[in-house]
Amino acid sequence: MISMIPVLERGYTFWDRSMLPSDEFEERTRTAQAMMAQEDLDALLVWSQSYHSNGDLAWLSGWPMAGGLVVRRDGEPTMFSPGGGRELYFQRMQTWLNDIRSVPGSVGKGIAALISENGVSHGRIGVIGRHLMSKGGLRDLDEHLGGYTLVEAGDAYSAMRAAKRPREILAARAALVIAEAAVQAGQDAYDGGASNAEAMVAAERVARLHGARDWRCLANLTGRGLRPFERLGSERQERLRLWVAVDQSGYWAHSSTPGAAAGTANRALDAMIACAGAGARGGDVAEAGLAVLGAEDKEAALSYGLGSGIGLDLEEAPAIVPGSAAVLVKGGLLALRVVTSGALDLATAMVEIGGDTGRRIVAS
Amino acid sequence: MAPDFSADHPMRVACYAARAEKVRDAMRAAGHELLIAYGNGRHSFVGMNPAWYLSGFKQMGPHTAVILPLDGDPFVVVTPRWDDERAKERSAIKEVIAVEPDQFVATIVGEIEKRQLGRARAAVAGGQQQPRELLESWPGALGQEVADADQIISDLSRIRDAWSLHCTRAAVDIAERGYDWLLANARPGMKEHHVAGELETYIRALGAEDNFQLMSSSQHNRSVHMPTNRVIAEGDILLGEITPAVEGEYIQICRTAVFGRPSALQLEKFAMLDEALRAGMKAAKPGVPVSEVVAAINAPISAAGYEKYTVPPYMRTRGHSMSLGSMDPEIATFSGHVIAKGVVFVMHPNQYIPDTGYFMCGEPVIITDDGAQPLTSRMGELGSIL
Repeated sequence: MISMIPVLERGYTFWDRSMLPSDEFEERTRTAQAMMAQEDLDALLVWSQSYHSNGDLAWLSGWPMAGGLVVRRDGEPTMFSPGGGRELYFQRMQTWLNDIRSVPGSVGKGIAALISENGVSHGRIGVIGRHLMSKGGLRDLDEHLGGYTLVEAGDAYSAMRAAKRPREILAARAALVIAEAAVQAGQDAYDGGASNAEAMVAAERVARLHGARDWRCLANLTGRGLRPFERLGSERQERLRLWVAVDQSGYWAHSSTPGAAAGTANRALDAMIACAGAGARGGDVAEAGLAVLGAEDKEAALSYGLGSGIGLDLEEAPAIVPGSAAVLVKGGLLALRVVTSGALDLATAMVEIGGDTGRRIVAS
Repeated sequence: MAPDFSADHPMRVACYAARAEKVRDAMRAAGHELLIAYGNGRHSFVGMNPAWYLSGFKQMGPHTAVILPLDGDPFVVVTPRWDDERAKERSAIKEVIAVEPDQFVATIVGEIEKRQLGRARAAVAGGQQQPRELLESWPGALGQEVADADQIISDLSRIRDAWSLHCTRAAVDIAERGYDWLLANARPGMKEHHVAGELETYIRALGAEDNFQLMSSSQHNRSVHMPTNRVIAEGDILLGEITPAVEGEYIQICRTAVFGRPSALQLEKFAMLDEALRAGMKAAKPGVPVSEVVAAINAPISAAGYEKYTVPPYMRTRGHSMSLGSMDPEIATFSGHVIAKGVVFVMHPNQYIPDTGYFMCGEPVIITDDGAQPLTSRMGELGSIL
């Protein structure tokens, strides 16, 4: 769901080795190298911006740093982080990577030197995240890697990541624990007499104390639709409709105040879950949910969106929209939602794509 | 009485109208007839948002744009469609068109044509966060070469107007109260991220819509960073970069406190940074290049034998703007900026000192004829949490 992006991911930041040990990332690197061999790539460059998460880079590094991560045909990846290096000490605490290089100025020069260190002076470099680069960054890359063929590798990389690994599901379930606790805290605050805005703050507090690294929240602050928090207010609506999303150890989960048990939103959601099996298309899942809704609710549901993949990014492929030809892959994770007209009803679920149908994942 | 930030506040209405007129004056001078002021939903503390600066609306969707013709009424295009009511409530520009993100550019182009502005000489102020693909698509979409108008917004917005200062002062108050809360509540035995989480929600409850906050604590800090699972211990040095935002106006205070009584060495080193800060404030007069301000800040630190530590990786920058409209000034020798009267920024000789670890010492300041004046009610000291 589109939500207010904060200026900085500033919550609990800690590499949880018990959930995501080094061997997990070593295995991911081997998987990426196998993909590279299949795609005939001599190196892979994954790019990320500052301050905001990039799941593609974090999938290999364990933490979303800004800069470029280079994977060669063998060995561990190397991270090139722009800037003066003040953050290097902290960055090293957050990632399994041994080789992190702070490169004020040209990142492209460092990458070229690294690749040629292995005797690879020409060849194909797969690039992911090229669209995130500034004009200057792209120029720098083109200048220093001019001797190589830069190929777009986003599709192959996404396909490789589509089915979540077991530890990724574990991490998503841990995030769901926090999301559900936050929703409950918001509901408790509201039931205790708090305004809808105060309930949002209560929910955020619990999420942060439980270890959320990033936090999103929308609520029915005015009784007409969902809104982000902008300032505290005393307005109290007839009920609380709260949607939250939490990032814990990089993995996202969403949750919401429960919709009416036999209500339209839940029925539409159940229909989507039933359809969310491997081989189904994103458009099929969307149509299954929309078929349950009346015209006005359909319009609202489409505007708020019916969901997408979820993982290291709050919104990943596949998009659950009418007409989407994206094919659901077994083991993928979806964040599904239905918001009816005026946000009078709201239902969400975290769903694992099964063989024939989707399966709600439960918090652990 | 709590400050008033209502959309129809007379000062707000007047200031946003004045901003549009000043932009028009600058457009005339530059030969532009139509301005597209773009805003990106990936809100950045170090990247301006021209659309927000001109509209007063904090977007949630990926794209927003204010279209300001030299003659005729402006309009604003926001995303997504379901956020239209909030946009209409907060936008200082009356005509709001809410669309889905994939219709953003087409809507702008269609509205320009509908208003017969297609032949107007266009300029785009996209800020640092405008996606490259969008930046490169404007000439094709508008059927003309498009000028870069970032400097227009930056030059105007760096001198804070009355509304900006109204919001800035509210943010300063929140920051100071947040730090007071920290001193009163952080204790050994607590986890870093618990303290940071409680501080964050306290600041939210005071009215900050966002907050660039870093908070960490250790016996010998290498830098300030996001909170971890570290347990706070007696003797730890707590570092806080507290940067609440009110209506997009961020304000930053940089603070250091010791869990326990500061040692003589810690007091000495903090005093050195405080001296550096005050020297910088004295030097920061209108017309002074920022390189001279940097030199003034570094002088006492270098004189104390720490010249090596006055550059990265031991520090990042000696200060910076935090305006949603301008990144000028950046208090670093590479910026080439010149101090101007009325600009607001944070000046901070935060840095690593080998004897004590990283210390933070910084104030939000406004430039007057006499130099930089702090916006805070009291400048930071080396705190003691007993």
